[in-house]
Amino acid sequence: MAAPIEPTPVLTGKSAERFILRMKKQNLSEHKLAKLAAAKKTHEKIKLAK
Amino acid sequence: MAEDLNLKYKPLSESLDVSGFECGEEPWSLSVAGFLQEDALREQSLGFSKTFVFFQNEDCAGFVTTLASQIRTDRYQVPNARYRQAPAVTIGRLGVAQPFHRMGVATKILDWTLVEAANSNFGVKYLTLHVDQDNDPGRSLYERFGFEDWTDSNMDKRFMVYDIYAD
Repeated sequence: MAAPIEPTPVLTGKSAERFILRMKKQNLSEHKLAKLAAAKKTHEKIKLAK
Repeated sequence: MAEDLNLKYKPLSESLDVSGFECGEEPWSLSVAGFLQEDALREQSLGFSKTFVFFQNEDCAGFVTTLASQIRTDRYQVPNARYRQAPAVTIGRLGVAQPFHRMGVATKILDWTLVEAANSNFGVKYLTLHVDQDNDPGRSLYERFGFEDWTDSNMDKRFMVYDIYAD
């Protein structure tokens, strides 16, 4: 049986800490950015009809 | 069921036949369908709004009408607002054709609209919309999506707001 594939974090360690700190300073929300990223996947699938 | 959807969209134009569009018998549903059939093209030609129609195969599954707007952040006492006014896109109308109800079409249209707003060449901070006070299914849909109810006591409709970037 193949080993389960672990998700690879985009940012780790100090980079992740700095990113979260920057987001907090800018009043950005991790949750909203994740939602926007998910919406982009839906958006990509909805093509302009010819 | 939503996974089976393969929506495509077209900007509303004279060549699109939307005369058969129906989205229910409730007063707000009749109003939404009536807008698409009778008003949307004229409003678009005058620059008040833009309407996009979504198709599943050849069937019209729904539509959204959007317009540029702004929010008075001082009026709503928004924390960390930075400016007294903030740019927004208002969802003027959103309708899903009756055969496509409860299939996730409205959420997909909201996702599409959210990304269109975020990708705009103009700054957009919020999505906003108004919902009839007694339109509980609509309010529930928008709350599930993440809209907050910013209704003032003197408003005859619910005013709902989605901050694209912040909670």
